[in-house]
Amino acid sequence: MTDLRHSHPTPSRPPAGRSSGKVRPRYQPGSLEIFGLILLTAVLLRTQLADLLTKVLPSGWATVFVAICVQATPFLVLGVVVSGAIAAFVPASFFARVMPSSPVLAVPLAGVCGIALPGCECGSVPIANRLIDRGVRPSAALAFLLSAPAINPIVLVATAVAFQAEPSMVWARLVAGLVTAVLVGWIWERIGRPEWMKPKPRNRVTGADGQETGPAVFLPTVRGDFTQAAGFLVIGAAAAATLNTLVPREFMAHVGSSVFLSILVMGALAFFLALCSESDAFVAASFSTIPVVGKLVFLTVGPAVDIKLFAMQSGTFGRRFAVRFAPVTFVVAVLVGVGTGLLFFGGWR
Amino acid sequence: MNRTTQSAVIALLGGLLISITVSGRFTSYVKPGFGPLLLIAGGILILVGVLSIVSGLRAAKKVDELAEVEVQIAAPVHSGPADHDDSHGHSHERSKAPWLILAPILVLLLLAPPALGADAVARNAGSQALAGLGGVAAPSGTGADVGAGGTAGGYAPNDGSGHGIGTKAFAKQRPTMSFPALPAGKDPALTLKEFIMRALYDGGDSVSDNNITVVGFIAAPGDGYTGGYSLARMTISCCAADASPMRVHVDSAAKYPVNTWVSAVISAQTGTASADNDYVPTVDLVSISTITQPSDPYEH
Repeated sequence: MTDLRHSHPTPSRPPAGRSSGKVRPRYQPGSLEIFGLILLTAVLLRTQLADLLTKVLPSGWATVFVAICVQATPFLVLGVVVSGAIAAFVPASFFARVMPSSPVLAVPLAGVCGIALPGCECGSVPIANRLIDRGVRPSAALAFLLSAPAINPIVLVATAVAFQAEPSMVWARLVAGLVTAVLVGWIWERIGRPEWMKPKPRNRVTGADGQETGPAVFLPTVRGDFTQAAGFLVIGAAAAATLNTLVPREFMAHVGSSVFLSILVMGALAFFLALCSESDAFVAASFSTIPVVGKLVFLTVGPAVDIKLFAMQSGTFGRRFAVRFAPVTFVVAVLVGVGTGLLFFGGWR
Repeated sequence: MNRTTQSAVIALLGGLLISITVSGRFTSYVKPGFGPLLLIAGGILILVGVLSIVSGLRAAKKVDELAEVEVQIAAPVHSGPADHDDSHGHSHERSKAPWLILAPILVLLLLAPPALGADAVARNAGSQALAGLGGVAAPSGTGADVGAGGTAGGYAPNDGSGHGIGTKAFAKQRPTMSFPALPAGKDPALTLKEFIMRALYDGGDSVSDNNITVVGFIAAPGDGYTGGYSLARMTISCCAADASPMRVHVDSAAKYPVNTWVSAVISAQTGTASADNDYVPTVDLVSISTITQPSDPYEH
């Protein structure tokens, strides 16, 4: 097991590690031992830990937290498998040939391609990252990242079911999602800087080349992408579960009186609730006092930027990227949502 | 976290997904339709985890000497050695993020969180007039014209202000819809959601004139009611994060403690649902008995 000796210590490692390291220089407790220790502790102290957690956590928190993680995992798996397949089987030259060289065209094309990925937002983060790795210009990959969860067929059908009496909501959502993605892509083309993104692994791994392809790359890519994205997904799920269980929904009923306020609140709520884009239409439909434009803002902001996506983006692309990208996306999504809503519904309603 | 541990965590997560799906516990978190997706995802994760460990062991032999040299050179603190055995440039071994995957795994193993219950009912309570209306019949009668601007189900009145329910226009006309005939038999069973929709909007008063069997749990009385208790059930459209409660009010002391699952035969009192009580109708209780939690604790 080379890996055991090969691994680095982490903050949670037991103090015995270093002293025993002196006696036997080749041994350091690796992550596998720590992992085993955590599992062992959990098994041995099961009842005590369960009691403690039940006392500390708000009622329902654990259920909502697990629900978000369980719900997102299949889509994340789809995303990393597609990402792995791109890494393994699609050479960079393919994208160079297919994508227009001009960002004016490449960004909308990538945005429209989002319609082909049936899933919600978690899956598109690793794919967008892989596309950038493969030489697609970041602005186009980001347009894909934003449009895929908003405009894919599953989401549109769910929206149609939730808004039966307002069928134009489906088209409004499609247009608003696509326009948001393309606008943010173009804006990023102007203001985005490569140094905001995390350095790519090929820059720091000795002798390795990120452009390498072949079936051998598939497995490590899937494993690496999944563990990384899932880790940050967990942060986002915890934050969303906390808000979900601490903020009463009724709070919403009191903001309907002001159009301006209700739109801001809907945007903020979409960010913090971090609902899957396949279910947000049902929640939006149940906000009885919110004008329809506010609901469209909720449906436009939600898939593009929420606390879960923010966590995943800062993990995948780097924090310096995420703190710039998220506000830009939020503002554009709110404005596009309002504009599209006024256009489609002819008023605030 | 090194690649072996990553692989083990992935395989564990995959196994856990399959285990909660096969045991049926997953319906406390997501809708039943997720079952096949969870099985596929769990299978892929196990496969990726196991194959990664196997290929890691093979690669380990090749780079053994190299690694030994490296560990002796490497500084002991926070210097993840570059992963020579993972020569494809996808190193995430410096990251601590993968450790977080253990959080949901441990919560699932330790707490086995139950389906949302009475606390969630109180927390997510809101007007029932608009919530969860997918799949109901088209509007008819007096409700047809006021329903045009509605949001879901086609019955919500809209006077252009964005404040449909509770406006004068709404108060004047009780929007009604036509529902299909009740299932045959004595005390036919309906979901609580269907019961409430009929209690609120059925011009034929089908659930006021007939006794209906519903399944739900005991919860505290809602806003606008002082005594009595609620019969409630959560509805979800995707996962427990989007749950919203469906409630009816019973105007007597509860026989069972909060969160007890019951099957009850009830009929609605017409005109009891109003904006003041979040459109929670009061029902007459014919009979009530405890049951075990249904295999799917939520409605959809």
